[in-house]
Amino acid sequence: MWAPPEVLVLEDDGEQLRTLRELVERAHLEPLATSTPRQAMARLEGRRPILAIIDLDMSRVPASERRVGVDDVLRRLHHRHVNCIPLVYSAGVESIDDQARVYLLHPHALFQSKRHGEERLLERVNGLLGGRVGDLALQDGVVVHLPSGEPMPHRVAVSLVTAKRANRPLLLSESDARAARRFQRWLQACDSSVLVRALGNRHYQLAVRED
Amino acid sequence: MNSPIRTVLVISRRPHAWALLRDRLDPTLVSVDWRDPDALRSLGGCPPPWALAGDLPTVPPTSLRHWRGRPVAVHWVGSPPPGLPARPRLHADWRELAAALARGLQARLAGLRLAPLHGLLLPGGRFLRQTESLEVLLSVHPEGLELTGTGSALLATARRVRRILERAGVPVELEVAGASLRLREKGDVGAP
Repeated sequence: MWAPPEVLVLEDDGEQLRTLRELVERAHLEPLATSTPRQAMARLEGRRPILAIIDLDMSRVPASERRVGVDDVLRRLHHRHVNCIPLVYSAGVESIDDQARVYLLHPHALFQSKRHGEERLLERVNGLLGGRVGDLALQDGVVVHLPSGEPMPHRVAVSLVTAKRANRPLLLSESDARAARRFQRWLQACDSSVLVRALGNRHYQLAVRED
Repeated sequence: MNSPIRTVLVISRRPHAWALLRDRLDPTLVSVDWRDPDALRSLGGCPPPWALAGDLPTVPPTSLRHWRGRPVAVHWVGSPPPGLPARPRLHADWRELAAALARGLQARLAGLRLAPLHGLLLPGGRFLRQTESLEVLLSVHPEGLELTGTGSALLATARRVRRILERAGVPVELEVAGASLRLREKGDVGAP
């Protein structure tokens, strides 16, 4: 049975957490919804989310739960979930110093200011989860070759499309690299404008053909 | 830094230059990293970045030694410190430096150009990977690069670049003069 790719959501505001969870569900992906960093660390155990939507402001978290912080979650994502793209949104990422502090925890974090409102955050998440790469699109949690309508419901294919939207390559295990090669064969069979590129050192990235 | 992504490494005490370059350079082509000079030792053993940018008159003396003789485009604002891996290109301010890097990312020679994040695109859209040294020289064309290391590291770099050019099959050759490396389109005799 096909399991949809997962998205970690860490938000201490219950209403906003519900909104984000629904957004992820609408994209037919599996939300790992958490309201404290401790919960987030626990949910990450044995999981491989492709995206993490993280609120830096955890002021609603009870004092008894604060032994683990957002910094720990970001560090863990950087060291153990290298293919997960963190989207950090907060009122506290306005200044360069704030962003640099997050950068030192996770150098590939993307930023979204709370000042621009929830709409912009949702647009940003949609852009990552629902955007197109060449003639491919993420639809209902699977990669679809738009001209033929052929679906490719594999986690690695979804991760590659999401990573391309964030200008990142993926570092793949041997079995995931095999899945990437299968994806490449599928792209060729569909006569897609997109190809899977091996960059060396087990790094892979999607590219759009230019011929 | 072990990822194959093309990277500009910013060395400065404060993160503002990192943020400026991150916002101005095309993220589909390059990633921008930042290190405080005191944290440079952690890079020992890492491959060199595509470009190094800084604004400090001194860096810890041995911190960049491991990249000597290897091609890195160095761009600097103000007086450069000793021990950089190549003669730096000097800029009046960070905006000028950012513009120079942006031009380097768009460089073309005989149909060669930088592919997104890593590698080169050849005429006809063909992709060539693991081309880091040629990517650096392409970005500083036509001026070229004067390395501070000499001897075996320089020779190894020149051999590597020539091998990549051979794989690419493009009419470009490497010119070596002392510690300077420069690409030249074959048959081009009028270059500066």
